Amino acid sequence: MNETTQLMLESAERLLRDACPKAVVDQAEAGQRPDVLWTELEALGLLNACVPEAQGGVGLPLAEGLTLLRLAGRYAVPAPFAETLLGRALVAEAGMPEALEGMMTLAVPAVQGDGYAPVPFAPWARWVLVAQAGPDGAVSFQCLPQEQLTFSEPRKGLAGEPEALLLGGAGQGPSFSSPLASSLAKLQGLLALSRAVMMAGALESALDLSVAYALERKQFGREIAKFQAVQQQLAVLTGEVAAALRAADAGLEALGSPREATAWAVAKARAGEAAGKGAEIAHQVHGAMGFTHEHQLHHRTRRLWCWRDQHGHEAYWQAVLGRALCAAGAEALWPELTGSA
Amino acid sequence: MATALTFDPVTLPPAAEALRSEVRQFVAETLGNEHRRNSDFGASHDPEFSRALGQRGWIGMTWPTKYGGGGRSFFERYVMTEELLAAGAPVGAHWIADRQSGPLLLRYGTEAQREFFLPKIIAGECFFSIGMSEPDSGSDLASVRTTATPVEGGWLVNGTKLWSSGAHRNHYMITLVRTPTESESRHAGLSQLIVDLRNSSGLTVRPITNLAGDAEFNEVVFEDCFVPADRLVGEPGNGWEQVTSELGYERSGPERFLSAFRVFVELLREVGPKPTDHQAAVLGRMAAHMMTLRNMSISVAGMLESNRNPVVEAALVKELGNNFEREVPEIARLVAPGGGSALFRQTLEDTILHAPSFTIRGGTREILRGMIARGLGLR
Repeated sequence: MNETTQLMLESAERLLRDACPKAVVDQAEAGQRPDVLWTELEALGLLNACVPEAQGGVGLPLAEGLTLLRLAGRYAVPAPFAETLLGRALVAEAGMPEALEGMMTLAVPAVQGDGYAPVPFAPWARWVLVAQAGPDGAVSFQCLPQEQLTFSEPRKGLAGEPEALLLGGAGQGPSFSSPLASSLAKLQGLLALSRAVMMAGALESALDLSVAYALERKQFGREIAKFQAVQQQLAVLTGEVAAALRAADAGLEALGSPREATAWAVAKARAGEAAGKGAEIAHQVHGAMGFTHEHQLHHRTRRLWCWRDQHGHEAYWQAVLGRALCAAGAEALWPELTGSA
Repeated sequence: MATALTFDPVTLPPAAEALRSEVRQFVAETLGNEHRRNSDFGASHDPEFSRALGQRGWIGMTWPTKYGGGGRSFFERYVMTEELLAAGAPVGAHWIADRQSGPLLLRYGTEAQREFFLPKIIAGECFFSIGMSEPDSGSDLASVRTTATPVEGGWLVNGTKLWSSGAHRNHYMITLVRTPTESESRHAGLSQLIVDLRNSSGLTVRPITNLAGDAEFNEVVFEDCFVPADRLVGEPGNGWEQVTSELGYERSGPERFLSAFRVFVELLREVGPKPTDHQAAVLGRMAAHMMTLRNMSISVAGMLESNRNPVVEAALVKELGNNFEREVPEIARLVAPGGGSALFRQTLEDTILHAPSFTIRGGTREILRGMIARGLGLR
């Protein structure tokens, strides 16, 4: 990780600690767009992390800039951080300076079935980057003002954030392509990776909350952290968090390498599995308190349940990996797993 | 807490990747078709194979060259061991000596001990057993009762060691004993002695048959068994620290998630090139777990290479890795089409019969989780 990234992560963490408290997440989930938070993210330059310096951005490579999403997960940022970060990197190349302001979201063909995946934060976005796949799998983009497109009535997903189905309006106007996401598979893989990184961050936070709660909550005259049954569960949770973090980081490290598609599938599948197991343990440790709306644990766990399904759930990416292994055959299994074929 | 969760990325150096193809070629040339491939490091004992590895310089690879060691990095050793395990090569004979007995002597042994033992280990001609557990001391290792009483020229050992794998055919056993101490602490007064398993009087080794029908581990009974003074490892009374450091070497390596690997290979062969969606997802899930575990394990090798002491990280790798390798046969039996070939059944059954040991040896699941909980500040 380069020094610029390190500094940016530190200032981003300081900002989010103050600017993204529980109240802001609650208000966003009640339907209020977090404009103040967004303005602060913008002022710090976080949303332009992967926009070239010549266009007023920080100029970080994607692999570095996407590490910010771990913080978005840790603080449950209720806004299209991932979509804007990635979308602006794509748009910057196409020379649309006007699109480098305001919330951006992405309309992307779903990994399974026909049509588009529900568009996260569609009602709040100023810009929608619509991806269209050609018959050869190549992808072209149109960056359109949100009001030019037709969406379904918005609904709240598991995360409590608004999403809507794209009904029409795209198709006219100029389009562009980007080497950062040249194929639909690559675009979907990058988005899956973004969710893996976000899940790793949310899991870290769920672990922190669980450990703090276990050390504070007393039953039978002592902290519940002193009970082996609780300790063992928190150790299992730690293992899942560590695995999710490593898998997500490995996905970022692989960006641009011949192994990237495999690493992204591993990241989404492994972090998605950790999300389910981890949320379960975090809730069990928190008891009834963690089931209340008042406690902030659900800001993390509902996002874990949401993100593990977005851009392909575990079984989808596992099957992608499994089919490749079957095609390569038993004798190629070890070389495939170690990247030493 | 963040420390235990940080598994920094490590890219294996070119020297390690170059070694990988050498090891693959060696295995292809050395292992005949009749060899029953098993990725469980404890499943096999083949002195001839160990000697052949020794001739290649693949035992004691990281040790100083002045003892005949390779002076190579932990990463090269990592690649060498993972290649052998993945191929199901018979690594059992020299495994303990290479992994922990040699490193223990390098860290705490006398110069004379190093000069005497290390070249023999490196040649693949000297095999070690572990003498830690006792009938009443398993996870609670500090409760060991085997005693060593100082006598003219050495020690008289009395007591019983248990679960000592390979003691019936290995050469030496590093034995944890109680030596006289003034201290009341249960961690005080522990010492380690190198016991000659083949040339000691007052020593009885009784193989114990495991549930698979194999006689691998043993009960070792000491009755006034004399051990010369120069076979004491390190300082008398320093045994707890030494044993803890020894255990550190054995927790995070590839043997902690590869034990069931041949089941994975044979399952893939059974399923063939056209899996159902369910089969593909099950195989892909195993791959996602394995690649992530390997990544974490290599990261710990990087910490060892930079002389760090990653206790909690190693415990996390072992906890996740052991659970994974126990799960592999359970998954394989349910998705293999039509019961499977004879080779598949054999591989699967071997692993099912040995799987209970995966989450016990080298520290039980419960002990490891306790160590992780301590790392979290819960205890």
